[in-house]
Amino acid sequence: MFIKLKQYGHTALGPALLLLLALSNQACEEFEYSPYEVRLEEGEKQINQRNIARIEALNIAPEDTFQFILASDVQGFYEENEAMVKNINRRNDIAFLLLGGDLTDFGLAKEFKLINEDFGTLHMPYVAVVGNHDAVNNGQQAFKAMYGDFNTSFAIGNSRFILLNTNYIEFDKQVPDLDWLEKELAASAGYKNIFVLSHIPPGNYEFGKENRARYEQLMSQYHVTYSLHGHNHKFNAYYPYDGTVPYVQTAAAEDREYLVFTVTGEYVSFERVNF
Amino acid sequence: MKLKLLIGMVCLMALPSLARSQEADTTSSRKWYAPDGVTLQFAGNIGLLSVAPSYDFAHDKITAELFYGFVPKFDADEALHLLTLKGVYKPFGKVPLTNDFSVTPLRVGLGLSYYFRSQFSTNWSNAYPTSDYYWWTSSLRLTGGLGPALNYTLPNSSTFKELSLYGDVGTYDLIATSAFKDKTLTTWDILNFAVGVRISIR
Repeated sequence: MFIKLKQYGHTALGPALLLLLALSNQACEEFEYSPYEVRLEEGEKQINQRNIARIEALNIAPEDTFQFILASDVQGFYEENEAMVKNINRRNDIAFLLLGGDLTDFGLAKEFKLINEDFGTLHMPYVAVVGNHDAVNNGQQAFKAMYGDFNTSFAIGNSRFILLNTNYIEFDKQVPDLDWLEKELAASAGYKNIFVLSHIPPGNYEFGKENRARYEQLMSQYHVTYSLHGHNHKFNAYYPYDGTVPYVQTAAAEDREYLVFTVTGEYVSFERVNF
Repeated sequence: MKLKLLIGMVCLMALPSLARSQEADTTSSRKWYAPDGVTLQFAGNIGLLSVAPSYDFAHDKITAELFYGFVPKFDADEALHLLTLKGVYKPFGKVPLTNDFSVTPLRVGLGLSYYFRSQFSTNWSNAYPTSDYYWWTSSLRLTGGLGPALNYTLPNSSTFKELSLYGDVGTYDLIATSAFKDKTLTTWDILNFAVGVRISIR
Protein backbone atom coordinates (compact mmCIF):
# COMPACT_ATOMS: atom_id res chain seq x y z
CA MET A 1 0.00 0.00 0.00
CA PHE A 2 2.86 2.36 0.82
CA ILE A 3 4.54 1.76 -2.53
CA LYS A 4 1.32 2.31 -4.40
CA LEU A 5 0.72 5.53 -2.56
CA LYS A 6 4.22 6.65 -3.38
CA GLN A 7 3.74 5.89 -7.08
CA TYR A 8 0.51 7.81 -7.37
CA GLY A 9 1.80 10.55 -5.14
CA HIS A 10 -0.39 12.44 -2.75
CA THR A 11 -3.26 12.59 -5.23
CA ALA A 12 -4.06 9.04 -4.12
CA LEU A 13 -4.31 10.02 -0.48
CA GLY A 14 -7.53 12.00 -0.88
CA PRO A 15 -9.62 9.17 -2.33
CA ALA A 16 -7.96 6.69 0.06
CA LEU A 17 -9.01 8.81 3.03
CA LEU A 18 -12.53 9.26 1.74
CA LEU A 19 -12.80 5.51 1.25
CA LEU A 20 -11.60 4.94 4.80
CA LEU A 21 -14.11 7.48 6.07
CA ALA A 22 -16.95 5.89 4.12
CA LEU A 23 -16.03 2.37 5.28
CA SER A 24 -15.70 3.38 8.90
CA ASN A 25 -18.92 5.34 8.81
CA GLN A 26 -20.87 2.27 7.78
CA ALA A 27 -19.09 -0.56 9.43
CA CYS A 28 -18.37 0.17 13.00
CA GLU A 29 -20.15 1.44 16.02
CA GLU A 30 -16.81 1.74 17.77
CA PHE A 31 -16.56 5.13 16.08
CA GLU A 32 -18.23 7.42 18.59
CA TYR A 33 -18.90 11.06 17.91
CA SER A 34 -19.73 12.26 21.43
CA PRO A 35 -20.73 10.89 24.84
CA TYR A 36 -23.89 12.94 24.33
CA GLU A 37 -24.80 11.65 20.85
CA VAL A 38 -28.17 9.90 20.44
CA ARG A 39 -27.68 7.45 17.57
CA LEU A 40 -29.96 4.42 17.82
CA GLU A 41 -30.65 1.15 16.04
CA GLU A 42 -34.24 0.60 14.92
CA GLY A 43 -34.81 -1.88 17.77
CA GLU A 44 -33.74 0.72 20.34
CA LYS A 45 -36.45 3.26 19.53
CA GLN A 46 -39.85 3.70 21.21
CA ILE A 47 -39.30 0.76 23.55
CA ASN A 48 -42.17 1.68 25.92
CA GLN A 49 -44.64 2.07 23.09
CA ARG A 50 -43.70 -1.25 21.51
CA ASN A 51 -43.65 -3.09 24.83
CA ILE A 52 -46.99 -1.64 25.92
CA ALA A 53 -48.43 -3.02 22.67
CA ARG A 54 -46.97 -6.43 23.63
CA ILE A 55 -48.53 -6.18 27.12
CA GLU A 56 -51.95 -5.29 25.70
CA ALA A 57 -51.62 -8.18 23.24
CA LEU A 58 -51.49 -10.58 26.23
CA ASN A 59 -55.29 -10.10 26.28
CA ILE A 60 -55.56 -10.59 30.02
CA ALA A 61 -59.23 -10.63 31.05
CA PRO A 62 -60.48 -8.67 34.13
CA GLU A 63 -61.02 -11.92 36.09
CA ASP A 64 -57.55 -13.31 35.27
CA THR A 65 -54.71 -13.35 37.78
CA PHE A 66 -51.44 -11.83 36.60
CA GLN A 67 -48.11 -10.85 38.11
CA PHE A 68 -45.74 -8.00 37.35
CA ILE A 69 -42.33 -7.01 38.66
CA LEU A 70 -41.15 -3.64 39.93
CA ALA A 71 -37.40 -3.04 39.76
CA SER A 72 -35.66 0.30 39.98
CA ASP A 73 -32.37 2.19 40.04
CA VAL A 74 -30.43 -0.18 37.80
CA GLN A 75 -27.89 2.49 36.86
CA GLY A 76 -24.41 1.12 36.22
CA PHE A 77 -25.14 -2.14 38.06
CA TYR A 78 -24.60 -4.28 34.98
CA GLU A 79 -23.40 -7.29 36.96
CA GLU A 80 -26.50 -7.25 39.21
CA ASN A 81 -28.79 -6.54 36.25
CA GLU A 82 -27.52 -9.60 34.39
CA ALA A 83 -28.16 -11.68 37.49
CA MET A 84 -31.63 -10.15 37.91
CA VAL A 85 -32.64 -10.82 34.29
CA LYS A 86 -31.35 -14.40 34.55
CA ASN A 87 -33.27 -14.90 37.78
CA ILE A 88 -36.51 -13.46 36.34
CA ASN A 89 -36.18 -15.48 33.13
CA ARG A 90 -36.08 -18.67 35.19
CA ARG A 91 -39.69 -18.07 36.27
CA ASN A 92 -42.63 -18.12 33.86
CA ASP A 93 -45.32 -16.43 35.94
CA ILE A 94 -44.59 -12.77 35.13
CA ALA A 95 -46.58 -10.73 32.58
CA PHE A 96 -44.27 -7.71 32.41
CA LEU A 97 -41.67 -5.68 34.31
CA LEU A 98 -41.79 -2.04 35.37
CA LEU A 99 -38.48 -0.16 35.65
CA GLY A 100 -38.79 2.65 38.18
CA GLY A 101 -36.21 5.03 36.70
CA ASP A 102 -32.48 5.74 36.93
CA LEU A 103 -31.57 3.38 34.14
CA THR A 104 -28.35 5.39 33.78
CA ASP A 105 -25.86 7.36 35.85
CA PHE A 106 -25.26 10.12 33.29
CA GLY A 107 -28.20 9.97 30.84
CA LEU A 108 -25.89 8.68 28.10
CA ALA A 109 -27.44 6.90 25.11
CA LYS A 110 -24.62 4.39 25.50
CA GLU A 111 -25.81 3.54 29.05
CA PHE A 112 -29.43 3.23 27.91
CA LYS A 113 -28.24 0.85 25.16
CA LEU A 114 -26.30 -1.27 27.65
CA ILE A 115 -29.36 -1.44 29.94
CA ASN A 116 -31.57 -2.43 27.01
CA GLU A 117 -29.05 -5.15 26.14
CA ASP A 118 -29.80 -6.64 29.57
CA PHE A 119 -33.52 -5.97 30.01
CA GLY A 120 -34.21 -6.51 26.31
CA THR A 121 -33.37 -10.19 26.87
CA LEU A 122 -36.21 -10.58 29.39
CA HIS A 123 -38.78 -13.13 28.23
CA MET A 124 -41.46 -10.54 29.01
CA PRO A 125 -41.86 -6.88 27.97
CA TYR A 126 -40.53 -4.08 30.19
CA VAL A 127 -41.69 -0.47 30.50
CA ALA A 128 -39.52 2.29 32.02
CA VAL A 129 -40.28 5.58 33.74
CA VAL A 130 -37.68 8.37 33.63
CA GLY A 131 -35.40 8.92 36.66
CA ASN A 132 -33.47 12.02 37.67
CA HIS A 133 -30.15 10.57 36.47
CA ASP A 134 -31.77 9.75 33.11
CA ALA A 135 -32.68 13.43 32.71
CA VAL A 136 -29.23 15.02 33.10
CA ASN A 137 -26.68 15.89 30.37
CA ASN A 138 -28.40 14.95 27.07
CA GLY A 139 -30.46 12.27 28.82
CA GLN A 140 -33.88 13.81 28.27
CA GLN A 141 -33.40 13.60 24.50
CA ALA A 142 -31.90 10.11 24.77
CA PHE A 143 -34.75 8.81 26.99
CA LYS A 144 -37.39 10.35 24.74
CA ALA A 145 -35.87 8.75 21.62
CA MET A 146 -35.47 5.33 23.26
CA TYR A 147 -38.50 5.06 25.57
CA GLY A 148 -40.91 7.73 24.33
CA ASP A 149 -43.14 10.10 26.33
CA PHE A 150 -42.10 10.96 29.90
CA ASN A 151 -45.72 10.55 31.05
CA THR A 152 -47.63 7.56 29.74
CA SER A 153 -50.26 5.01 30.73
CA PHE A 154 -51.66 1.64 29.73
CA ALA A 155 -54.26 -0.87 30.89
CA ILE A 156 -54.35 -4.62 31.33
CA GLY A 157 -57.27 -6.65 32.68
CA ASN A 158 -59.00 -4.47 35.25
CA SER A 159 -55.82 -2.56 36.14
CA ARG A 160 -54.55 0.76 34.88
CA PHE A 161 -50.88 1.77 35.04
CA ILE A 162 -49.88 5.45 35.02
CA LEU A 163 -46.20 6.37 34.59
CA LEU A 164 -45.41 9.89 35.83
CA ASN A 165 -42.26 11.99 35.48
CA THR A 166 -41.50 13.38 38.97
CA ASN A 167 -37.97 14.71 38.34
CA TYR A 168 -38.82 18.21 39.49
CA ILE A 169 -35.35 19.77 39.48
CA GLU A 170 -34.08 18.27 36.19
CA PHE A 171 -37.21 19.46 34.40
CA ASP A 172 -36.89 23.03 35.68
CA LYS A 173 -39.66 22.62 38.27
CA GLN A 174 -42.22 22.06 35.47
CA VAL A 175 -42.97 18.48 36.59
CA PRO A 176 -44.76 16.49 37.93
CA ASP A 177 -47.65 17.43 35.68
CA LEU A 178 -50.38 16.87 38.26
CA ASP A 179 -53.09 18.20 35.94
CA TRP A 180 -52.20 15.45 33.47
CA LEU A 181 -52.17 12.96 36.34
CA GLU A 182 -55.63 14.02 37.49
CA LYS A 183 -57.01 13.57 33.96
CA GLU A 184 -55.47 10.10 33.81
CA LEU A 185 -56.91 9.22 37.22
CA ALA A 186 -60.35 10.46 36.18
CA ALA A 187 -60.06 8.32 33.02
CA SER A 188 -59.28 5.28 35.21
CA ALA A 189 -62.72 5.31 36.80
CA GLY A 190 -63.79 2.01 35.22
CA TYR A 191 -60.79 0.09 36.55
CA LYS A 192 -60.62 -1.84 39.83
CA ASN A 193 -56.89 -1.23 40.32
CA ILE A 194 -54.82 1.88 39.63
CA PHE A 195 -51.03 1.86 39.90
CA VAL A 196 -49.11 5.13 39.68
CA LEU A 197 -45.37 4.69 39.08
CA SER A 198 -42.84 7.48 39.38
CA HIS A 199 -39.15 7.64 40.24
CA ILE A 200 -39.01 10.16 43.10
CA PRO A 201 -41.51 9.64 45.96
CA PRO A 202 -43.56 12.68 47.06
CA GLY A 203 -41.88 12.77 50.48
CA ASN A 204 -38.51 13.61 48.91
CA TYR A 205 -37.32 17.21 48.64
CA GLU A 206 -36.54 16.58 44.92
CA PHE A 207 -40.28 15.93 44.24
CA GLY A 208 -40.98 19.63 44.78
CA LYS A 209 -42.38 20.62 48.15
CA GLU A 210 -45.35 22.44 46.61
CA ASN A 211 -46.46 19.26 44.76
CA ARG A 212 -46.60 16.84 47.64
CA ALA A 213 -49.97 17.69 49.20
CA ARG A 214 -51.87 17.66 45.91
CA TYR A 215 -50.23 14.40 44.78
CA GLU A 216 -51.14 12.63 48.01
CA GLN A 217 -54.63 14.10 47.95
CA LEU A 218 -55.11 12.81 44.36
CA MET A 219 -53.92 9.32 45.34
CA SER A 220 -56.53 9.17 48.10
CA GLN A 221 -59.32 10.88 46.17
CA TYR A 222 -59.07 8.42 43.24
CA HIS A 223 -58.49 5.39 45.49
CA VAL A 224 -55.18 4.49 43.87
CA THR A 225 -54.17 0.90 44.66
CA TYR A 226 -50.45 1.56 44.98
CA SER A 227 -48.19 4.59 44.60
CA LEU A 228 -44.90 3.03 43.38
CA HIS A 229 -41.42 4.56 43.54
CA GLY A 230 -37.65 4.06 43.47
CA HIS A 231 -34.88 6.64 43.90
CA ASN A 232 -33.88 6.13 47.55
CA HIS A 233 -32.16 2.73 47.02
CA LYS A 234 -34.02 1.25 49.95
CA PHE A 235 -37.24 -0.74 50.34
CA ASN A 236 -40.00 1.08 52.17
CA ALA A 237 -43.78 0.63 52.49
CA TYR A 238 -45.90 3.26 54.24
CA TYR A 239 -49.31 4.99 54.38
CA PRO A 240 -48.95 8.79 54.28
CA TYR A 241 -51.73 11.42 54.13
CA ASP A 242 -55.03 9.87 55.27
CA GLY A 243 -53.64 6.33 55.56
CA THR A 244 -55.76 4.82 52.76
CA VAL A 245 -53.17 4.40 49.97
CA PRO A 246 -50.03 2.26 50.31
CA TYR A 247 -46.83 3.83 48.99
CA VAL A 248 -44.09 1.36 48.10
CA GLN A 249 -40.51 2.30 47.36
CA THR A 250 -38.31 -0.46 45.97
CA ALA A 251 -34.59 -1.05 46.44
CA ALA A 252 -31.85 -0.59 43.82
CA ALA A 253 -30.45 -3.36 41.63
CA GLU A 254 -27.27 -3.28 43.74
CA ASP A 255 -29.36 -4.49 46.70
CA ARG A 256 -30.28 -7.56 44.59
CA GLU A 257 -33.98 -7.11 45.26
CA TYR A 258 -37.12 -6.67 43.19
CA LEU A 259 -40.83 -6.76 44.02
CA VAL A 260 -43.41 -9.14 42.54
CA PHE A 261 -47.01 -7.92 42.53
CA THR A 262 -49.87 -10.37 42.17
CA VAL A 263 -53.20 -9.04 40.90
CA THR A 264 -56.29 -11.23 41.36
CA GLY A 265 -59.45 -9.30 40.63
CA GLU A 266 -59.55 -6.53 43.21
CA TYR A 267 -57.00 -8.18 45.43
CA VAL A 268 -53.39 -7.04 45.03
CA SER A 269 -50.40 -8.21 47.07
CA PHE A 270 -46.66 -8.01 46.68
CA GLU A 271 -43.58 -9.84 47.87
CA ARG A 272 -39.92 -8.89 48.05
CA VAL A 273 -37.63 -11.20 46.08
CA ASN A 274 -33.88 -11.38 46.55
CA PHE A 275 -31.70 -12.84 43.82
CA MET B 1 -25.30 14.85 1.32
CA LYS B 2 -24.80 16.32 4.79
CA LEU B 3 -21.31 14.83 4.96
CA LYS B 4 -20.38 16.54 1.68
CA LEU B 5 -21.57 19.84 3.05
CA LEU B 6 -19.51 19.32 6.20
CA ILE B 7 -16.33 18.54 4.27
CA GLY B 8 -16.88 21.64 2.19
CA MET B 9 -17.35 23.71 5.32
CA VAL B 10 -14.18 22.33 6.84
CA CYS B 11 -12.17 23.16 3.70
CA LEU B 12 -13.47 26.72 3.84
CA MET B 13 -12.49 27.00 7.47
CA ALA B 14 -8.95 25.92 6.65
CA LEU B 15 -8.53 28.62 4.01
CA PRO B 16 -7.55 31.55 6.25
CA SER B 17 -4.67 29.64 7.78
CA LEU B 18 -3.38 28.69 4.33
CA ALA B 19 -3.52 32.27 3.19
CA ARG B 20 -1.60 33.35 6.26
CA SER B 21 1.15 30.84 5.67
CA GLN B 22 1.65 32.00 2.09
CA GLU B 23 1.93 35.49 3.37
CA ALA B 24 4.49 34.19 5.83
CA ASP B 25 6.61 32.86 2.95
CA THR B 26 6.97 36.30 1.49
CA THR B 27 7.59 38.13 4.73
CA SER B 28 9.52 35.19 6.25
CA SER B 29 8.14 35.91 9.71
CA ARG B 30 4.96 34.11 10.71
CA LYS B 31 2.46 35.71 13.01
CA TRP B 32 2.35 34.13 16.47
CA TYR B 33 -1.20 32.94 15.94
CA ALA B 34 -0.58 31.38 12.52
CA PRO B 35 -1.01 27.64 13.04
CA ASP B 36 1.67 25.10 12.19
CA GLY B 37 -0.95 22.86 10.67
CA VAL B 38 -4.60 22.04 10.21
CA THR B 39 -6.13 18.84 11.62
CA LEU B 40 -9.30 17.13 10.55
CA GLN B 41 -10.62 14.31 12.74
CA PHE B 42 -13.41 11.78 12.29
CA ALA B 43 -15.10 10.44 15.49
CA GLY B 44 -13.24 10.08 18.79
CA ASN B 45 -15.94 11.75 20.93
CA ILE B 46 -15.08 15.28 19.85
CA GLY B 47 -17.61 15.37 16.97
CA LEU B 48 -18.51 13.34 13.92
CA LEU B 49 -16.10 15.64 12.15
CA SER B 50 -13.93 18.16 13.88
CA VAL B 51 -11.36 20.61 12.57
CA ALA B 52 -8.59 22.41 14.40
CA PRO B 53 -5.72 24.80 13.98
CA SER B 54 -2.68 22.89 15.20
CA TYR B 55 0.39 24.28 16.97
CA ASP B 56 3.71 22.53 17.61
CA PHE B 57 5.85 23.04 20.71
CA ALA B 58 9.02 21.58 22.20
CA HIS B 59 10.56 20.46 18.88
CA ASP B 60 7.27 18.89 17.76
CA LYS B 61 7.08 16.64 20.81
CA ILE B 62 3.93 18.43 21.90
CA THR B 63 1.06 19.59 19.73
CA ALA B 64 -1.86 21.71 20.87
CA GLU B 65 -5.08 21.78 18.85
CA LEU B 66 -8.37 23.61 19.27
CA PHE B 67 -11.13 21.60 17.57
CA TYR B 68 -14.55 22.74 16.57
CA GLY B 69 -16.69 19.59 16.45
CA PHE B 70 -20.14 18.88 15.12
CA VAL B 71 -22.50 15.99 15.88
CA PRO B 72 -25.66 15.67 13.75
CA LYS B 73 -28.86 15.25 15.71
CA PHE B 74 -29.48 11.65 14.57
CA ASP B 75 -32.32 10.55 16.92
CA ALA B 76 -32.08 13.56 19.27
CA ASP B 77 -34.00 16.83 18.96
CA GLU B 78 -30.96 18.90 18.10
CA ALA B 79 -27.38 18.70 16.83
CA LEU B 80 -24.37 19.24 19.11
CA HIS B 81 -21.61 21.81 18.76
CA LEU B 82 -18.49 21.62 20.86
CA LEU B 83 -14.98 22.99 21.24
CA THR B 84 -12.15 20.70 22.31
CA LEU B 85 -8.74 21.77 23.47
CA LYS B 86 -6.48 18.80 22.82
CA GLY B 87 -2.86 18.25 23.72
CA VAL B 88 -0.88 15.54 21.96
CA TYR B 89 2.40 14.24 23.35
CA LYS B 90 4.78 12.27 21.11
CA PRO B 91 7.35 10.57 23.39
CA PHE B 92 9.28 8.95 20.49
CA GLY B 93 10.72 10.52 17.36
CA LYS B 94 9.72 9.66 13.81
CA VAL B 95 10.89 6.33 12.40
CA PRO B 96 11.71 6.69 8.68
CA LEU B 97 10.23 4.07 6.32
CA THR B 98 11.26 5.42 2.91
CA ASN B 99 12.40 8.82 1.72
CA ASP B 100 8.89 10.17 1.87
CA PHE B 101 7.21 8.08 4.56
CA SER B 102 7.81 7.89 8.28
CA VAL B 103 5.93 6.59 11.30
CA THR B 104 5.29 8.33 14.59
CA PRO B 105 5.04 5.27 16.88
CA LEU B 106 2.89 6.83 19.59
CA ARG B 107 0.74 9.90 20.05
CA VAL B 108 -0.88 10.34 23.45
CA GLY B 109 -3.78 12.77 23.43
CA LEU B 110 -5.83 14.41 26.16
CA GLY B 111 -8.76 16.67 25.36
CA LEU B 112 -11.18 18.86 27.27
CA SER B 113 -14.48 19.46 25.46
CA TYR B 114 -16.94 22.26 26.07
CA TYR B 115 -20.54 21.75 24.93
CA PHE B 116 -22.78 24.61 23.88
CA ARG B 117 -26.58 24.16 24.35
CA SER B 118 -28.74 24.88 27.34
CA GLN B 119 -29.04 21.29 28.60
CA PHE B 120 -25.34 21.33 29.47
CA SER B 121 -24.41 23.54 32.38
CA THR B 122 -21.10 24.29 34.03
CA ASN B 123 -22.81 24.79 37.39
CA TRP B 124 -25.61 22.54 38.61
CA SER B 125 -28.79 24.25 39.75
CA ASN B 126 -28.69 25.42 43.36
CA ALA B 127 -32.12 23.82 43.79
CA TYR B 128 -30.43 20.54 44.75
CA PRO B 129 -30.49 19.57 48.42
CA THR B 130 -26.71 19.06 48.52
CA SER B 131 -23.94 20.75 46.53
CA ASP B 132 -22.43 17.38 45.47
CA TYR B 133 -25.71 15.85 44.25
CA TYR B 134 -24.03 15.17 40.88
CA TRP B 135 -20.25 15.04 40.97
CA TRP B 136 -19.40 15.83 37.34
CA THR B 137 -19.75 18.99 35.26
CA SER B 138 -22.25 18.61 32.46
CA SER B 139 -20.81 20.97 29.86
CA LEU B 140 -17.19 19.74 30.15
CA ARG B 141 -16.02 16.28 29.12
CA LEU B 142 -12.52 14.83 29.33
CA THR B 143 -11.41 12.54 26.50
CA GLY B 144 -8.16 10.69 25.99
CA GLY B 145 -6.62 8.38 23.44
CA LEU B 146 -3.46 7.01 21.92
CA GLY B 147 -2.25 5.61 18.62
CA PRO B 148 0.32 5.86 15.85
CA ALA B 149 0.61 8.16 12.83
CA LEU B 150 1.87 7.65 9.29
CA ASN B 151 3.61 10.70 7.88
CA TYR B 152 4.18 11.59 4.23
CA THR B 153 6.53 14.39 3.27
CA LEU B 154 5.29 16.68 0.53
CA PRO B 155 8.46 17.66 -1.31
CA ASN B 156 6.91 19.61 -4.16
CA SER B 157 4.68 21.92 -2.20
CA SER B 158 5.75 25.39 -1.19
CA THR B 159 2.81 25.69 1.20
CA PHE B 160 2.62 22.31 2.90
CA LYS B 161 5.33 20.35 4.60
CA GLU B 162 3.85 17.05 5.63
CA LEU B 163 0.66 15.04 5.65
CA SER B 164 0.00 12.77 8.66
CA LEU B 165 -2.67 10.14 8.99
CA TYR B 166 -3.32 9.09 12.58
CA GLY B 167 -5.49 6.58 14.37
CA ASP B 168 -6.63 6.73 18.00
CA VAL B 169 -8.04 4.30 20.52
CA GLY B 170 -9.68 6.33 23.25
CA THR B 171 -12.25 6.67 26.00
CA TYR B 172 -13.84 9.44 28.07
CA ASP B 173 -14.29 10.29 31.73
CA LEU B 174 -17.92 9.25 32.38
CA ILE B 175 -17.80 5.81 30.76
CA ALA B 176 -14.36 5.15 32.29
CA THR B 177 -15.82 5.73 35.77
CA SER B 178 -18.69 3.36 34.87
CA ALA B 179 -16.16 0.66 34.01
CA PHE B 180 -14.36 1.37 37.27
CA LYS B 181 -17.64 0.94 39.18
CA ASP B 182 -18.76 -2.24 37.39
CA LYS B 183 -16.20 -4.85 36.41
CA THR B 184 -18.47 -6.55 33.88
CA LEU B 185 -18.19 -3.64 31.45
CA THR B 186 -15.73 -4.89 28.85
CA THR B 187 -12.91 -3.00 27.20
CA TRP B 188 -15.01 -2.81 24.02
CA ASP B 189 -17.82 -1.19 25.97
CA ILE B 190 -15.68 1.80 26.87
CA LEU B 191 -13.18 2.12 23.99
CA ASN B 192 -13.76 3.90 20.71
CA PHE B 193 -11.77 4.69 17.58
CA ALA B 194 -10.90 7.88 15.79
CA VAL B 195 -9.01 8.66 12.59
CA GLY B 196 -7.57 11.98 11.64
CA VAL B 197 -5.38 13.73 9.14
CA ARG B 198 -3.09 16.66 9.78
CA ILE B 199 -1.41 18.79 7.18
CA SER B 200 1.51 20.85 8.42
CA ILE B 201 2.31 24.19 6.91
CA ARG B 202 5.77 25.40 5.92
